This record gives sequence, C-alpha cells and structure tokens, in this order.
Amino acid sequence: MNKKISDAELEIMKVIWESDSPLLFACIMKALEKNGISWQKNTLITLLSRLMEKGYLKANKRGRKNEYAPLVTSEEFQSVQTKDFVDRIYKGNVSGLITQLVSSDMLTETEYDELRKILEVK
Amino acid sequence: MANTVLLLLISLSFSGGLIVLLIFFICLLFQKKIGWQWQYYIWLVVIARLLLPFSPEQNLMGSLVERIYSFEQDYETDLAKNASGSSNEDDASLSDKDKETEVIKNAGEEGDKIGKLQNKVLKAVPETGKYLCIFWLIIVMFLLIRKITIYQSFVRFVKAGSTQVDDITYLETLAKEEIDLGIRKAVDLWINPIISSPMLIGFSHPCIVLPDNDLSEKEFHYTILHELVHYKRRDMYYKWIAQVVLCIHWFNPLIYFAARKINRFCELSCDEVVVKRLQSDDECREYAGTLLNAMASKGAFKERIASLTLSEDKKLLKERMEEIMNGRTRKYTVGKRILSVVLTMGIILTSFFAGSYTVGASNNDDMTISNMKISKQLKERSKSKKITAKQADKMALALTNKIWVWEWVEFFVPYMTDDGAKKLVSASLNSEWAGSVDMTTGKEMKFTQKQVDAARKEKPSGKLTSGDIDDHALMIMQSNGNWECVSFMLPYMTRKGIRSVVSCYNSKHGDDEKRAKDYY
Repeated sequence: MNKKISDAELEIMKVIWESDSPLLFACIMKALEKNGISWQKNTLITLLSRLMEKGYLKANKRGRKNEYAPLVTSEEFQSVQTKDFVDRIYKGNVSGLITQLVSSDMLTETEYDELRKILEVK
Repeated sequence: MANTVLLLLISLSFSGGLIVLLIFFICLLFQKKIGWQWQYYIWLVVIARLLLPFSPEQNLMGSLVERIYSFEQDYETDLAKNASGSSNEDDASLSDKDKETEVIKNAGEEGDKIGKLQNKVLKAVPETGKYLCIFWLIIVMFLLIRKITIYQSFVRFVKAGSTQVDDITYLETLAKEEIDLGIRKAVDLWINPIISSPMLIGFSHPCIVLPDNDLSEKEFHYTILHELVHYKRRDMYYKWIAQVVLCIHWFNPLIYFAARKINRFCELSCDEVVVKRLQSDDECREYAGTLLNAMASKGAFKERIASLTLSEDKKLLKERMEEIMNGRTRKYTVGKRILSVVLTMGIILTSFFAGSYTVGASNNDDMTISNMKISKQLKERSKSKKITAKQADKMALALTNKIWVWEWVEFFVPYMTDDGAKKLVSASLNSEWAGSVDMTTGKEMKFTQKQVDAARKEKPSGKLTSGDIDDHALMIMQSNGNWECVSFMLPYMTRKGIRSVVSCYNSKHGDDEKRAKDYY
C-alpha cells in the first residue's frame, strides 16, 4: 500500500475507485478510453498485475474472466499520499501546509469554513 | 535392475553422442546452405534420443551390446585354448596318451578356474552396478538442484535490484511488438543497472530486464524485438531441457559440446528471425549496432545458465554481426528446403535406429548381465538356428564328461571340429560319471579311436540346427531323466525344445519343480 504508484497506474486506480462494484478487464479498458486513454491490452495487463503485486488491487475469477476490485480505498490512498507529501515537503509539519494553502489563496471561502469546522470539532 | 539402468543410460548416451557428432558435421558441411533455425532445432533430435529409451527391435546399440558379449565369450574360449597349449609344451616327457589326458585335465581345470572367475565377476558386477547407479543418481540430483537454486537466486537477485519501467511509451512499444509477434502474454519490463546485457527471465511471469534506460527509441525497439523472439520461440524451455539432459548425461563430454552448440545456434537463429522482420539494410546495421552497444555496457553481472541474454560473448558476437549483415541476402530456395527436409528425416531415422539397449526384451526386474546375455541369445532362438562346429564340440565333450554313451555322443561327431573329435576318447576315459557297460562282461565301454574315426567318415547330410539338438536332448531326457545330461544343450535349443525337455523332466520326477521360462 505504501509502495509508490506510477501516473499510469493511478489512472487505472481512479477508474476502479469510481466504480461501485468490481470491474471486468473490458470495462476498465472502456472507462480509460472515456478518460482519453487508449492503451494496448498487454500494457493494461502489465499495469494491473503490477498493481496487484503492490497490493492495491485483487482479481477475482468470474467464469474465465478476471474481475478487479480495489484493496485500498481512495480515502486511504489520499491520506497515505498526503502524509507522505507532508513528510517530504513540510518535514511532517501540517500547519506549514495549511499556512501555505491559506496564504497563497488556494482555498475558497467555503473550503476555508469547512476546514475551520473540522478543526473545531476535533 | 541397477545394471539395466546403467546399460540403458550408457547406450543412450553413446548413441546420443553419435548423433551429436553426426549433426555437428552436417551443420559444418551445410552451414551456409541451411537456415540457422534448422541448425538450432535439429538438436532436439539429440535431446529426444538422450531422454527417450524407445527404439526398434533391431538397433545399433542392441547389437553392439550383443557383440560385446559374444566377444567376451570368444575371449574366454581363447583363454582356455592358450591354457591347454602351454601345458602341452611343458609336459613333453609324458607319453602321447598321458599328454592328451593331461591336456584335457588342464584344460578342464583352467575351464573351472575361468568358470569360477566368471562367476565371481558376474556376482561382483551387480554390486558395482548398484553403487555406480547410486553414484550417478547422486551427481544428477546434485547438478539439478544446484542449477535450479542458482537460477532462482539469480532471478531473485535481479528482481530485487530492479525498478519497473513506468514510462508508458516504452510499455506501449513493447505491447505493440507483442501483438506483431503474436504473443498473447504480457511481458513485463524492468531496469537493473547491475546486469551486463538485456535479458529475459522468468517462466510464469516473463520479464525483460534492461541494463539501463538511456537506449534510443530504435535501440529499445531492437532489443525488445530480440528478447520477444526468444520468448515467442520458448527458448528458455529449450535451454532448460538441454540443461536437464546435461545433468542426466553429466559423464558425456559430447553433451556439453552439444549444449554449447545449442546456445550458439539459439542466438544466431534468433537474429535470423529478427533480421527477417527488418525492412532495410540500414535497419540491419542498426540492429547489429545495438548488439555491440549492449556488449559494451558497464554492468558486470552475468548469468549463463538459463537467462537469454542479448549478447553472450565476443566470438559469437562477431559471427552474429556477419550473419546479420549477410542475413538479408540469404535466400532459401526450394532446393535448400528439400535438402533440409531430407537431412531432418535422415537424422531422425539414424537416431531412431542408433537406438538404445531396450528394456522391452525382458520383464524381469532383477536382470543381471549374465541372464541378459542368455536372454539376448534366446530371444533370437525362438526360430531354429545353425549350430557351429565349436558348439558341437562343446556339447559332445560336456556330454562325454557326464556320461559316455557312444550312441548319444556319436550324433555330434560328424559336425565336430577335428580338434574336438580328437579329445573325445580321452574325455571318455576321464569322465566323471558312469557310462555304457557291456552286459555280458560287465566291462565299461569307453570310446575307442576306431569308433570316432568311423563316425567322422560319415558326411553329414546338412547343417546341425537347434531343432536337431531339441530332438536329441529330449531323447536323452526320456532315456535317463537326468537334468545335468542335457542342461548344457539348453543354450542351443529352441524355446519349444526347452519346453518339451522340461515337461519330460517334470513328468519323470512327478512334480513341477522346473519351469521352461527360467531357461529361455
């Protein structure tokens, strides 16, 4: 799970996270095409098997076909990635990140209110 | 059992070795005429010969084994002759008659000694055979396990130091190339700076490993094309089968030679396939350049056993360069195709008939060399066979030695050699057992030279055959029922004859103590 993921692999994970149920190979292919990505079949097979090896995906047999389901939710993935990002860029200092977000006007008014509410509850 | 295995193994190894030499010289002779692919795959015949113990009834190895046995027998009779010859000279002072008996005695003693020695050897052979067999098996296991563990740890080592190629354009090029070549399985792509040249590893999850990723687009294309052709042709299985055969026939230097040849032809024929797919001479030149660059790369880690590397060594590389540059001009005409088909058939047939010492001849598990010898002789004896003069001598003297009934021995006399006939009289004088007795006088009726001479004068109407021995042995068995008076004839009889003698013996002795099968 904490293993690095490539951009191409992330595209596949996004497609799978968007779906509520496990996806067949052909469905992943189609969904990627919708996102403007058309790969060779074997490229996708290689990337899927790499994701399985890294523990992001699992494949269940449905008849003779494989059905791919995520082992990691997008939230889990985001929190791990954010933590990694904060560790690397802000040396683990979260307030540094928030200060940066606020001071460089990256947050809208509503987002700022949401953030405040979360902080108050905790 | 152990001896059967050893004999089978050695005969397989030997005929395999012959086929190795045959193919090597054919490849040398027609190198420029036949494609590299043919020169690569033809070695499968050797592998089949070395692994599969099937061959026709009559084959080279079978008759070779037989020949060795008959040579052994000739050697033994020679020994016996020499022994009698030398004693002849030593005892010059003895009278003629004494001398003659002395000779026979000595010959008999020598014969006994040789017999005892032979028994010892035959008893020793199964023992040493067993130890040799175990020794062979231990080496096979050791080599196999060593090869497999070395390969596994190599793969683990390469994988551990590898990074996956994430660049989607490389992966796409690889996938397109796979479609072009008709490969359905997705081959993974890794980079590991520690290896010396690009390679293909893994069976269930094949993977191309590159030494570095600063290859140009074209170089990358040629590199993966070469490795994918290896994968497409299942070259790693071929190499591993060759390695297994090598482990089994570890004692045969020709097999090591063949394994090296297979590696060489593997690369040359792989290049041949790649070059056929290239469009122009420029592309050939670029492909050759890629090979050279791969050779010059920095990584030092090399693995020879079963990974398929892009370039193996410099001498081979030079040859490959030349072949790549000539490859496009090489055309395979119909004549050359026919030549390769004819050669293939020839080699397959030769290897089939070179054969092995087949086990099919006997179901007996505990077959030692001695009864193999007999069973081999007997296999051919279901039909009536000619009996030689020397064999007639042997039987007549053996019979005289047991029981000196002239009517029984007389049967052999016309067919015997002069030497053999001369020994008869003294043999009857020295006989171990009993013989004919004159009913009126009670005197033993030993043979006389007159009788022998008279019998010698009769010209035999035809050749003596095993069928005649059958009848004669049965007659003796019916008259006296003594096993030892016919046992020495069994090797020269047909199966049918043996059966009737055995059933006659059993009927006389009231039980079924003997079985004809034991004497086939």
